Amino acid sequence: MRKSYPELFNDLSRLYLIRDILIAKLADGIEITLTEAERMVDDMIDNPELLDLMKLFDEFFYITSWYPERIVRSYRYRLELFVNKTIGLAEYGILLSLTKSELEQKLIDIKDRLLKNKQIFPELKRLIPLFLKQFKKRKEEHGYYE
Amino acid sequence: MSKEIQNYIDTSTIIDAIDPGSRFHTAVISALRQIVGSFAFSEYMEIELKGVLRKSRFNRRKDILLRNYANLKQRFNTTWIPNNRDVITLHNQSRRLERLVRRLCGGVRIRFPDIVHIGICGLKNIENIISEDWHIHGRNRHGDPFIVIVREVISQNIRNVNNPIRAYMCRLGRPIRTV
Repeated sequence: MRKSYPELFNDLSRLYLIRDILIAKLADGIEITLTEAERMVDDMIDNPELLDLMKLFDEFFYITSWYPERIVRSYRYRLELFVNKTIGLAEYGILLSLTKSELEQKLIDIKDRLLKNKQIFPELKRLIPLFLKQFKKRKEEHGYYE
Repeated sequence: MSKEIQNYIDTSTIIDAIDPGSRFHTAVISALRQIVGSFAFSEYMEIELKGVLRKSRFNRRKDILLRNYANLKQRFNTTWIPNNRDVITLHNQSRRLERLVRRLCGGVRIRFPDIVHIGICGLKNIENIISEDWHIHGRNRHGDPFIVIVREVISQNIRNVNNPIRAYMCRLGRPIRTV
């Protein structure tokens, strides 16, 4: 059955957050670097269109500030905003506590679910920046969201 | 036998400690060396740190910085706090407490991850929290420390906790006790 745009947007957000947590859990800094972990997870997704959509979410999170404490505060603010408006804090909490294999399984399930609606990816690509723009209620002050 | 003092390090201090390009790098490392006791690193903080490294100006140097972080973890005597059920319950409840904490802090925008970081110290009985972020080591206009307010709110709403009792910052080259 074809899903609605908000449902697909939520699934994409879920996939994005799982990707993020999985990269963080795979990378240990010595044996597996963050770049390698990113490549491993992207290989699991293995769909250029989906990866393109993921990059649109990256733009929402990218922080331009120079100071570490401001970067951390902006990141906390944007993550809170994103999680609250999409999957909710409770589900994000569950994702944080899952093991690597459970996250991998979840990632593959959601990816398969999304690929069933592959035909509306171009439309989603147009809509995602609009959805994300609505999240930003307040303007950035002093270079960071506070 | 005296109990060993434990210290929890927040993400902003970790970034200063692992980034050689930061003007506070040497000072923070020097201050961390002077701190007595062991350090506690949490999985919650680590996931946040890796997110920050990937989504900011650190992106180009993320692998080097993460290696520095791994070396830092090995160099200091550290204990590991995983994202277990207690931490996740705290994470879920913190959002509900955010508004109350903000009101008690006089409108200061304390975010729920701040509450989680302070709460982790409470759950694991960690006495000291080290953070360069004013929203953690600061005080409201009445002089009440934020960590005390958050501790009280967590004690009344989730679980009785006695810690953290002290907050430090490290950017001046020695651990400065702010609370």
